[in-house]
Amino acid sequence: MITFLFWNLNKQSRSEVVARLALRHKVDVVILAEMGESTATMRAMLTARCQTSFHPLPGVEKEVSILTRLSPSQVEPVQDHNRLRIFRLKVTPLGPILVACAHNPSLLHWDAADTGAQCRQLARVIREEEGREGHQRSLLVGDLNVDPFDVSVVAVDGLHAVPTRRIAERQSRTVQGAEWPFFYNPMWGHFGDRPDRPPGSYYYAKGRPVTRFWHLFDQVLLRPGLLPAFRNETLHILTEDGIQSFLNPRGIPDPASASDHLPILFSLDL
Amino acid sequence: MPDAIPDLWPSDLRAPTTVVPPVAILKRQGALLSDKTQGVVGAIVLGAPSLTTETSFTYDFYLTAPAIGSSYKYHLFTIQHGMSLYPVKVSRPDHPVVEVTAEADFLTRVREILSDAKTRQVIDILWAQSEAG
Repeated sequence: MITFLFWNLNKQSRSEVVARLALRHKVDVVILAEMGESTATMRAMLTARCQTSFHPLPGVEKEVSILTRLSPSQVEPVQDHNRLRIFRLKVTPLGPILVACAHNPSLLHWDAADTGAQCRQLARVIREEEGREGHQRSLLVGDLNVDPFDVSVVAVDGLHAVPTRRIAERQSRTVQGAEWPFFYNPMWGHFGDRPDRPPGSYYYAKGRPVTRFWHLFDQVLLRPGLLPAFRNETLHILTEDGIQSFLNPRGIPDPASASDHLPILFSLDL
Repeated sequence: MPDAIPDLWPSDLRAPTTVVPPVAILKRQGALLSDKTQGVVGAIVLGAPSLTTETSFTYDFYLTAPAIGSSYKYHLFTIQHGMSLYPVKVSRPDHPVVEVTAEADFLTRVREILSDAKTRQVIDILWAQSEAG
């Protein structure tokens, strides 16, 4: 089993909290956006608390930091961009897997056309790397800064991410003569009121006529080829680390103690 | 029998040209970078098949560092042009797209990118990590 944690830390210093999560959930790969500390500090804390050596993924960190306790023989960097990092899990029962980690710009600064272009670029880069690798066993995880139902996530030339396994297991569909592979987006199952889960991963409420309040900007999308190794019950939006809550008394992500985003955790049976 | 069939191709099959394809200019920069860094950091140009059509060509320019990973690359910028090679659009993350209409302007734009502080920082990082082993 390989366990992944993704968290946008809102430029806060949260190495202790991240390390508690990594220990509690036996995290193998820690993926962070807007880390407020140095990689060295985060590495030291993870290593000390988990009593196993974590190391940063080689390459160029800009918007996304990746630390793992998997050995370099298991993990290899493949591609870095300003807001995207792709690495390869080399040895798995399914064969090599590509893991793409992204942090899209905020909608405070970009509009819908911009995020659409960004998701199209993400999709293109992943498809082309898959072409070079000769497989489509990929997943994308990160803060996409758009919701699962956003056009940029759903459209064929965007991430083409669908809400059910049944649809995703069709592998792809042909639209206007071109074949487009699917991603499965399990985040759809994490929206709205649930007795034991938060309604989303990010809360934003302004005095506008259209306000959704809760968003699922933090997502993991999986190609159908990875579905045999993914169980939906391993996917969680975390609200506490056993010591402290990440929510304020109103049940909203608390940037004062944690972050304005909630972390997501998921595993692959590999 | 083959000699009885006429040669129907024009005699001036390839017209002389002095226009160097933009992708050739970029590939040359990759080779030069590798020379300058003793092979530690290089650069490659990859076609983007999903954006390439019969009349539009897109190429991504990546820095490479074999010691970090045999297929590792860092995306620096992308170019796109049509059948006539120019104009060329040069796009770079977090920068506006620049369209250049002649080779001299393309050289200027690429020189700007290759020598700017962010590019130099990335090269430094890749070089240092490669040497650290």
